[in-house]
Amino acid sequence: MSLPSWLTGRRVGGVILLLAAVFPWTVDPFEVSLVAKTLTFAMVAVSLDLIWGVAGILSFGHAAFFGIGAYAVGLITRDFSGAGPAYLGLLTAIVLAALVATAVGYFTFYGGVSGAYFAIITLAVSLILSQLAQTWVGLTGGHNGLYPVPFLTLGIPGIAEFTFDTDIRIYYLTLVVLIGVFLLSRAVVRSGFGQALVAMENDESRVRFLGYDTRRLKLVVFSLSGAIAGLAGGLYAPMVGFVNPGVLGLLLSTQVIIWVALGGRGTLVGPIVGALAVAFLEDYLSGTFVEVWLLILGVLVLVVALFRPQGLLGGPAVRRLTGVR
Amino acid sequence: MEQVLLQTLNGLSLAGILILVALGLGITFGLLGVINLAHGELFMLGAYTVLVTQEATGNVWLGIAVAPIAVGTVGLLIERGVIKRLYERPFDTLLATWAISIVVRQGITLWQGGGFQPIAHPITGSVSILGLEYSRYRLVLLALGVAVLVLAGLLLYRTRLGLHARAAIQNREIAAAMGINVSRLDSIVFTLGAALAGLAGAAMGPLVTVSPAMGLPFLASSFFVVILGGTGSLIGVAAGAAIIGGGQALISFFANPVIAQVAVLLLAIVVIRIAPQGIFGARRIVA
Amino acid sequence: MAEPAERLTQSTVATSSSILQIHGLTRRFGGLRALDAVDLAVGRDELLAIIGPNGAGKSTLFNVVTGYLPPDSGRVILDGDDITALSPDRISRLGVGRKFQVPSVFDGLTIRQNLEVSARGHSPLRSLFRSHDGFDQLDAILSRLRLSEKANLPAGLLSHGEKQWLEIAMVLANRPRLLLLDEPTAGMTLGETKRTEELLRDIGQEHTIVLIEHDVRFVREVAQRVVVLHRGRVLASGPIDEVERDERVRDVYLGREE
Repeated sequence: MSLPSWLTGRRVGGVILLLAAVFPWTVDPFEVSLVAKTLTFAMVAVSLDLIWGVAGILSFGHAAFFGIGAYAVGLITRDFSGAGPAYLGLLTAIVLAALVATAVGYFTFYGGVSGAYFAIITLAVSLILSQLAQTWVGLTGGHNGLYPVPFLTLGIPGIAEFTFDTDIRIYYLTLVVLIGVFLLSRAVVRSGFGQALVAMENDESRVRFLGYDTRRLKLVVFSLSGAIAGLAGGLYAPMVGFVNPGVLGLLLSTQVIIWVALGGRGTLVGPIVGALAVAFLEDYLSGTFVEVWLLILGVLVLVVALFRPQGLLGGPAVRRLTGVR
Repeated sequence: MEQVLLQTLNGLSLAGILILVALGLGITFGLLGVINLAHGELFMLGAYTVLVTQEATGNVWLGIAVAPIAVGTVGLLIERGVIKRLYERPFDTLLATWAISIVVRQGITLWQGGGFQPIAHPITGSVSILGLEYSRYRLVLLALGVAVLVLAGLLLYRTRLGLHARAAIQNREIAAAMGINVSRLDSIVFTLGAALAGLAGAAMGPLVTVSPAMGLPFLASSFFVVILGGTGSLIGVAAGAAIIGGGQALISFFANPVIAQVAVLLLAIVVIRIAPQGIFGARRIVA
Repeated sequence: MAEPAERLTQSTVATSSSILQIHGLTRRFGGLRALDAVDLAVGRDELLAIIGPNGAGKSTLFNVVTGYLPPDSGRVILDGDDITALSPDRISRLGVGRKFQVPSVFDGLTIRQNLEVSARGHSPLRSLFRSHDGFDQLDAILSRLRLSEKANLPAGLLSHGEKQWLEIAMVLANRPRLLLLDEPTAGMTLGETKRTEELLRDIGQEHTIVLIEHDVRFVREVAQRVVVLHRGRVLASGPIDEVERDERVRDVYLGREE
C-alpha cells in the first residue's frame, strides 16, 4: 500500500495534535477524564511496544511497573503536599520501576532466559507484587489501598506552583507527557541502539556474533520500558485519587498486551490507537458486564493472533507516516 | 517434630499435583516448542468438571474420572484449532494461548459465576504416620503423582509412541524424515498433557476452593518446576516439583503463604541465574 | 585452474606469526567426538579452506572458535590471546567475524541499516546512540558487493544469493581481523558462485579468511591451503593438489574406508 505524497507524517501528526488539543472542549468532563486515564495506559502500551514490538521481549506483567509508580506517588504525595514532593514522587516512580525492571532483567537475561519463560517470570513478578500489596497493609493499605491521593501540583516549588485539579488540566498534562514518551521512544528506535534492538528481534545470535552483548541491550531497554510504565502509573494515581492492588494486577497487564497486539507491534503509535480504541469500545459496549467484555477481548486477540499478526496498524505505510524505522 | 513431618507431607502432596501439571507443560514445550499459557485454565477446567459432575450426580469420583477425558478433548481442540495453525510463530502462539486462557476463564465465570465453590472430599479421615494424624486424601494425591510419573516413564521409554516422541523432541525434521507422523504426535502429546492437567485440577479441587482464577498460580508454579528441572527429563520434572512444592510448604511453616510464594519465586529466579540449564541440565530453556 | 606457484608454497605450515592457533581442541556430543584433539594454525592474510564430509566437525569447529559452544578441552589463541570459551560477543569484539551457513540477515532493516548495525557492533553501549564509527567504509563495501542500488530496500526482499553476499558485507563492516565463512556459496547459482570467487579473492587481499566449503572446485579456485577434517580429526593439510593426491583423503571422499 503506497500513500499519496502529500500525506506526510508531519501533516498527519499536525492534524492529530490539533484534534487532540480541541477535543476536551467538545465533550463533557467525564469523557475527558476517561480519555486522560486512557492516555496513561497508552504510555504503558508504548513502553511495552518498545520491548515487545521492537526488541522482541514479551512481558506479561507490565502492570507491575505501572503499579510501582502509582504506589510511589501515592505514598509520597499523600502525606506531603506541594510541587517538591510531587516531583520527588514522580522521580521515585520512575527510578523504582526502573530498578525493579533492572533486577528482574538482570536475573533473567543474564541467566539466558528469554521468550515465553521471560513472559511467565514477569507474570509471576506482577502476581506476587499484587499479593504483597494486599498483604502489607501497613504500607499499602491492603485491599482498600491508598486513599485519597491528592491532585498533582507541579511548577516551580515554592514559587509558582500549579495544581492539576480539573479534568482538562489533567488531560493536557497527560497528553504532553504521552507525546514526550512517544518522541523519546521513537528517538530510541531510530538510534543505533534501536537498530540493534530491531536486529536482535530478527536474529539474536547474528547480533551476538557481530559483537553486541545482547543481554545488556535487553537489560537497558527493559529498564527504560519499566521507567516509562512507572511514570505512567505515577500520573495515574493522582488522576483517579486512589491506588489499590488492581493497578499491579493481571487484568491491566493483559489489557496492555491486547492494546499493543491490536494496534500493531513495533509501530509505537499503534499501541496508543489500540488503547484508545479499546477504551471507547469498552465504554460503549460493557459498562456493567465486565466478564462479557473480557470474553470479547479474548476472542478479538485470538482472531488477531491467527489472522492478522501484525495488528491493525502494522505495515509499511504507518511506519512511513510515524517515522518509526 | 510433628510440624516438620506435617510440612514434609504437605510439600510432597503438593509436589504430586505439580508433577501432573508440569509434565504436560514441559513435554508440550519439549516436543512442539510451544508454551501453553492456557495450561492453568485446563487445570481449572478439571476442577470444574468435578464440580459440575458433583452437582449433577453427587459423585466426586465420577467427576475425577471424567475430568481427564473432558479436558483432554478441550486440549485436542486447542491443538488442532489454534496451535497447529501457528506453527513456528512462537509469539503468536503465546498470544493465542493467552487469549484462550482469557476466553475459558471468562466463559466459566459467566457460566458458573466468579466466586469460590467447594468440592466435597471424596476420601475423608486420616492415617496415623509416626504419631501424626494425616489426611488420607493428601496421601492419595502423592501416590497419584508418583503413579502418573511411573506411567509416563513407561509410556516414554517402553512404547513405540514414546520412542517416536523422544525422537521428535531430539529433532523434529529428522523424525519426520524417518516417517514419524510428527503432526499426529503433536496432537496426541498435547491431548495427553491437557488430560493430565485436567486430572490434576480434578484431584486438587477438593483441597482448594474452586474458582475461575485458580489455574494461574499453578501455571506459574509449574513453570518454575520446568525451569528448575528442565524439559528433557522426567526425573527433572519430579525433582523440580519436589523442590517447588516442598519449598512452598516449608516456608509457609515459618511465614504466611504470600511470603512463601515470594520466596519461592526469588529462589527460582536466583537458580535461573546460577544454573541456566536447569538443575538437571537437561535442556537449555531458550524459547 | 592451477594456483600461482608462489601461493602453493606459502604458508603450508603456519608459523609463529599465525593469527589463529588451535591446540588440542576436543568437543564431544554424548559419545561422539565431533572434534578430537584438533591442532590448527592460520597464518596472517592466509585464505584457508576446511573441507571434509558431512559430520566431519567443520561447523563444530567454527562454533567452538566463536564461543558458541565451549570445548571439552584444548585452547584457541587469537593473536597470542587466549579466547577459549569466551562469549560470542566478546570473541567478535576481539576481531573474529563469522558468516553462518544459512544466511542470517536482519529482514526488518534495510540493507544499509544491516551494515550500520554491523559496523557499530563493537561500540560501547552509550555511544550507540550517535556513533557513526566506520560508516565511511560502508559505501565502499556496498559497491564492492554490488548492493549499492538496493541499499535502502528491506533486506527481506533480497534473493538467497544476495543475502549470502549481504551477510559477507556485514561481516566486513564489522571490521574483523579474521573472517570465518561457513559455506558462502551454499544454494548459489553457478553465476553467483563465480562472483563469490572473485569477491573472496578480492577480500583475501587484505583479510585472513577461513572458509568451510563442500564445493571442491570452488576451493581450488580460491584457497591457498586446504585442511581436511574427518571424524573430528585433521586428516591432511596442504595445497589442494597435494591434498587431492593424498590416498587417505581419497578413501574418505570415495567412501572406501572400512
